[in-house]
Amino acid sequence: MKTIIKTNSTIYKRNYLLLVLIGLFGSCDSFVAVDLPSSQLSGEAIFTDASTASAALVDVYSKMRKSVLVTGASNGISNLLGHSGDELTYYSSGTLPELDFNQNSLVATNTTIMTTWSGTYNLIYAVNAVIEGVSNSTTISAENKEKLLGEAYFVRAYLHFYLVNLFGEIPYVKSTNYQFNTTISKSSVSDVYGLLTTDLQQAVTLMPEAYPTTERVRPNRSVAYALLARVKLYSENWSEALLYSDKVITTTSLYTWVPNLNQVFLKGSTGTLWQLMAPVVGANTLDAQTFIFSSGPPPNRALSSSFISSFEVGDLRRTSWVGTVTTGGKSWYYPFKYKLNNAAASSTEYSILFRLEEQYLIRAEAYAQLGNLEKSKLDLNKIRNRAGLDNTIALTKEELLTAILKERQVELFSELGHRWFDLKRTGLSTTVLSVVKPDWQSTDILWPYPESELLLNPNLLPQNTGY
Amino acid sequence: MNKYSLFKTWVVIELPKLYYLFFLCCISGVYAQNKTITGTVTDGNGALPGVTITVKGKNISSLSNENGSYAIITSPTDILVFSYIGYKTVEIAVNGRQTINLLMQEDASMLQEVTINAGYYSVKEKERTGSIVRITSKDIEKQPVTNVLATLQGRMAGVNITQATGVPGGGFDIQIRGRNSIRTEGNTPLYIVNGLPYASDNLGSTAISAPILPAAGINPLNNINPSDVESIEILKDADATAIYGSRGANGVVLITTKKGKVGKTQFSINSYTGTGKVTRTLDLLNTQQYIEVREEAFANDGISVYPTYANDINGTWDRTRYTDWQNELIGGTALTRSIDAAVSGGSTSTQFLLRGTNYHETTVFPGDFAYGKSAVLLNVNHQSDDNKFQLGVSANYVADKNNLLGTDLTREAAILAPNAPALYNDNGKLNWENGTFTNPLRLLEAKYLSKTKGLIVSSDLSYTIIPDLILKTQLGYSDTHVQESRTTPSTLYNPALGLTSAISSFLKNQSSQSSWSIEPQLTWKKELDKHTLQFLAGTTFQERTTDQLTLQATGFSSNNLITNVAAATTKQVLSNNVSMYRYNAFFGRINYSYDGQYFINLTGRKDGSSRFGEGKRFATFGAIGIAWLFHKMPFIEKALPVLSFGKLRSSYGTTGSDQIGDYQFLNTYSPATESYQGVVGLQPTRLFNPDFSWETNKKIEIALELGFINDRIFVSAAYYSNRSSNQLVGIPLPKTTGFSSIQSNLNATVANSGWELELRTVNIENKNFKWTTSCNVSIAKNELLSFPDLEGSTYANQYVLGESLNIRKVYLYTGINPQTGVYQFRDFNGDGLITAGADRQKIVDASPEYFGGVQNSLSYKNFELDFLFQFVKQLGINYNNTGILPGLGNNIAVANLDRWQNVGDSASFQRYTAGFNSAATNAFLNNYVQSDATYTDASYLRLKNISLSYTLPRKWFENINCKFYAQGQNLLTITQFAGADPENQTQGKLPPLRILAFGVQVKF
Repeated sequence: MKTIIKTNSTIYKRNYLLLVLIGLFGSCDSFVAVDLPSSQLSGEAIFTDASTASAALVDVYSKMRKSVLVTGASNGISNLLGHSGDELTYYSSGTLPELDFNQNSLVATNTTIMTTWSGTYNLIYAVNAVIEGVSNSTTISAENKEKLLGEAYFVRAYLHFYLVNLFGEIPYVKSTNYQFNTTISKSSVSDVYGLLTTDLQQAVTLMPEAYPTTERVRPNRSVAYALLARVKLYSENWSEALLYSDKVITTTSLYTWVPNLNQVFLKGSTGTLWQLMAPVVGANTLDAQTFIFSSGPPPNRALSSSFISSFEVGDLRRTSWVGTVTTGGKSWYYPFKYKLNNAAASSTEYSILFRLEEQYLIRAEAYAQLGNLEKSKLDLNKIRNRAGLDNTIALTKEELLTAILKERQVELFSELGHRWFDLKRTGLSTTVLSVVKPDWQSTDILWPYPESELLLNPNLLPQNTGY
Repeated sequence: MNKYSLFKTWVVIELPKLYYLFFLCCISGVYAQNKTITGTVTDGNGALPGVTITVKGKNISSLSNENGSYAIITSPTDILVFSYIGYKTVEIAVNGRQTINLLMQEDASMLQEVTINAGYYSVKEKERTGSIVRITSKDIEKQPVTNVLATLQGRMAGVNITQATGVPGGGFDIQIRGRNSIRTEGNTPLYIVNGLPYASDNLGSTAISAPILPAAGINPLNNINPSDVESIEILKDADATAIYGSRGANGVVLITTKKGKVGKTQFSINSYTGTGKVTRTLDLLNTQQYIEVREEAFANDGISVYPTYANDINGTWDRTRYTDWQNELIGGTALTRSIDAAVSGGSTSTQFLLRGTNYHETTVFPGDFAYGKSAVLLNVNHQSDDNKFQLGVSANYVADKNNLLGTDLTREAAILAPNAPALYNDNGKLNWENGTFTNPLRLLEAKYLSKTKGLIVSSDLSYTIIPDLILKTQLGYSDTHVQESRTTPSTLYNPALGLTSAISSFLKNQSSQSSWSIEPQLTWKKELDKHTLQFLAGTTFQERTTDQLTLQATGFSSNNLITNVAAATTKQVLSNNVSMYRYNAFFGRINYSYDGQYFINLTGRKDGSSRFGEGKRFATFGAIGIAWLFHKMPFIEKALPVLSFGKLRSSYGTTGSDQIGDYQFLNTYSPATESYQGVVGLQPTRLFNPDFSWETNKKIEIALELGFINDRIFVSAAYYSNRSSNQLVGIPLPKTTGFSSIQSNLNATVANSGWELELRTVNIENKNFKWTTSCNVSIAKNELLSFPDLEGSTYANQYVLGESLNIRKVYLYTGINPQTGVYQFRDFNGDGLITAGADRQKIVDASPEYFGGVQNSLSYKNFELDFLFQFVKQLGINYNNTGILPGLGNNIAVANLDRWQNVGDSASFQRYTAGFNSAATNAFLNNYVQSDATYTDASYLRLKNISLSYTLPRKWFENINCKFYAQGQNLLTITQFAGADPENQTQGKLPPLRILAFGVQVKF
């Protein structure tokens, strides 16, 4: 008995001493230095290779489609600005975020505005990180560098374009340096236009004419021209608006007129300049999910009766691009440009960000402003005739400009806030909207800056008037 | 009373001496020709082993064995003395008897002798130099709750616990001595379960759980079964926490599960059933009042034709129908039932315990939802024959399943128009009222399900190398698996949208976390005359790996297949994260005492953590604690004979915090959730800063403990002052930086100071009746001491020097403009505008001013009654903070009826608006909800717990101990709070439940 205990205790003693030795002397700094997790890549590694750098860039497109700013989801500007303006009527018995937009009763603490602001600047950061990473990369080929940088400059300009039109003066963020960006000041609207024109011109020189794949899901040089045309139109530089829209329209090797209204919004449409690809095979657009409903009264939103009555008699867009639901003798209407709100075996529609028709309308407006009424009418009639309408009866420049504005309303409705921005840039917002909106004030045309942003960075003061 | 550890100490130190004495006794007994007396010693619960029986005036003693029986040789005229720590010492004259049985009674005045767990070492209550509070199974068992944190509410000074939601499985918030870190999420204490550090971060996905389980989602502490817990100690000051170094800044919670006891094999069964309802609801408008409000709102806005969406008032819905939606949606009764069974026993060398628990709780929501939990605990302890080697193993396994609706209905219940249509059609289907009614019960279509399985195994091995030198190793392993899912079927949406199961989606999260730790330690103790010296040195290795996979499946041919990922048309991996945390430390303790009156305790730790970048990984922490027991000083004994106990103690030291999450110092990209052109996007993970390091926390404490009249009145008062600096925070940044924050050390100092007072009295104590009271009050102050360039920082509008971290800078509400009927606020800078930066200058402080509890325990014969009142004095966010604009299509509180109607009116609420009056809308949504008007008194006094039990007299059933009991939780709440519940305050979350339970406990 005694010996057994003794033997045991010797064993214990030996093992324990060993453990203590390991414990007291075996530890070192290397134990607490852990490797990078397999689920992350280091920032340096991303930009050693064109394909990972490209993955960092296309994620911006994914997020634009899914949730940020130009998304077809209900928090995107297609829906929100449709409510702010005269396109959509609010129907939900609950309080959806868009109710405040519909009532033009936005406040600086509005969370939808905050998420739009933060989501967009987050994408701008990602784009700036690509610009910096790719520029400094020593392993990505010059050709790939140009492609990636061109796209990145373009997207940076594209995102800032919407911010400046929604908020007015904004900071134009060109680096990832957070210390600088924490106290960044706003630039005047004309300075922002100058900065984004510089970015777009850089994009034009860097981006190739051809699309990298058969689908038009990455921007090319023509898309940069198309945005330049829009930027020039908004800043009333008619000759340059003409110049750039003409460049797009004359690129007939890529873009051809789609005569059938029902084919304009299909995935393979030849009138499309840039569209956002669905994340998975079979998915269609979020726009369709947002707008389509199958029985009345509408659960969330519908086209306003004032908008429906703005179609001329015989306009084919009224039947091809507007859906009708009739329940109990009453009818309601919804945007039906994108027709598939459910997924299918293969994708048929992608959300379109730029299409040829807008360029025709820009050129028409530029011609009219420059006094070339005949050429202007040609472009306008091209749009009208496809919709089954006769040539315009406008005679004077003013009449023609009014006709073009009207045509833009019925051609571009429910697409990325075109109507809202048209009313804003032409100074007609109060004239038009005070009639249909009970609480309209001229200051409602700009969104308020998110209040928390003004608190964190007083250089963003003052708040827009009216808030 | 931790009998086990006392017993262990006894076995190691005293047993050899006693054997020797016993041997001597036998010899001397033979010579004196004395007789052997036998008997059994019991307490109220059963046999009491280890009781020392001595013969008064003689050097003879014996011990009771595991059955409580003893034998001692004595003469018929002797007096026997029975003593046992924590029990009253009893003297009995033999008077010629041969059998003496004794029922021993616990002694309140002996609490100072109790040994308490300080983590790496244990210390007698009277000798401790640090600040440690404790609760034992005796109090835990009286509460019909499932979360261990719930059992601590109101019982511990300096520990503030609030319940976030009444939904089963929901979380609790705990703050030990206030908020140290500027980061709200950086204030959780370190949890140690049976010696193993226990990760308290949520393993679930908040994307899945947030709508039903707010804040932290699945609470990892659900994996600890309260009825398995023997004791919980909370370490508060530097002396107690410095040995936990970098993880001790926010206090340490030590949870020790039950252990086997020496004695005959004992079985016990305990079962209860109960009901629960929400504590308080809002007082809302009825239909008549509501319609009046709406009509007035539209009239105020000058609108006579009601808009198409105003279904409640434009005639689409019945304008006279009334439903109490709170009663309909959150007014149900939750049923709880719990049963646990245990068997324990063992010899002096080996003891065991096996416990099993099953718990089931339904919800107050409509529908068939429930939370269930099963737990198994196995504990085995062994000592070698020579007592040199000891082994203890505990394994706790808990599996829980939470089957809930996807979204908490509390908010919908509060805002739904009272004339909204019926929930169901005549044919029993969900009523969408032709698409005009967003039926709240649609939310029952989306199901939330979580399943958690957690195993915690810990073992202690110790070996006495030479007398007084003990080598110990603590080994621990834990493994947790979480499966969580949420369905989003197409039936959740208005049928008018025409959506099919092709858009139905299913989110699933699978996480697992395993952790191991090894802690070899060496302890040495030397006693020389009046000097006692103790040493402890050890090292820790810990590794924790977490693996998380979140999937989304969309598009099903039928909603019946929605939980089958394989049946989905598209499947997406939303995240797949693997992370590793490693931790390494050296720690030590030197404790010196003189004459049992002077104590000095030095503790320290050198820590390394993988959460910091190179060169920042190691840091050293340490503390000194001193105590002086002065009641035995001759001059005090003489001057204050009524003083039975007196101790002055103080401590000073540093601790730290590494609660920042893993890999934050790295510049990385992580895969996005969606792909583009078949490639999964890569997104920048964060703004990075490789140079951040530990948060440090300096703590100082001084305390006085006094016992009077044999400790029947016992008071203690402690003052503490903690300073947290080198604040490790995600500094908020404007979103123009691309992100909302960056991790960095901020050279700011936060002070937490306060008083903690405790009073324990034995009011009445006689043979049949006993009444004790214990109270605790904590008065805490939080203050931002320094913050370089606060004005120029992004915190400028959040914090103020000299104020608490819990402040809000808000608008100062100045009343209603009698002309326009719109709220007005102080224009601090006088620019004629009310703007956030310049005019949110009024400071409101939402930290509790004081809080505490009063517990009374009464026992009369076989009846026992315990009740605990908990109180908190605080400001809170009231009902109007939710941003429900009175006049919009949502129901509002009855209090909001006192409104401005005509020019010249004075009222407490502004004119109603249906949303078309920008000035009024803006004044409410932008200013009023951010003003001091929405912060009102949220103090409350709550009957937190009441427990009444009756034990059947022992003579009825021999050897069977049978107890019947009734228990209540949150039974009564007295408050002025303008809202639902003053504890969780936020309106969208289910208030805590009022629970009443009845049960029976049988031991045999």
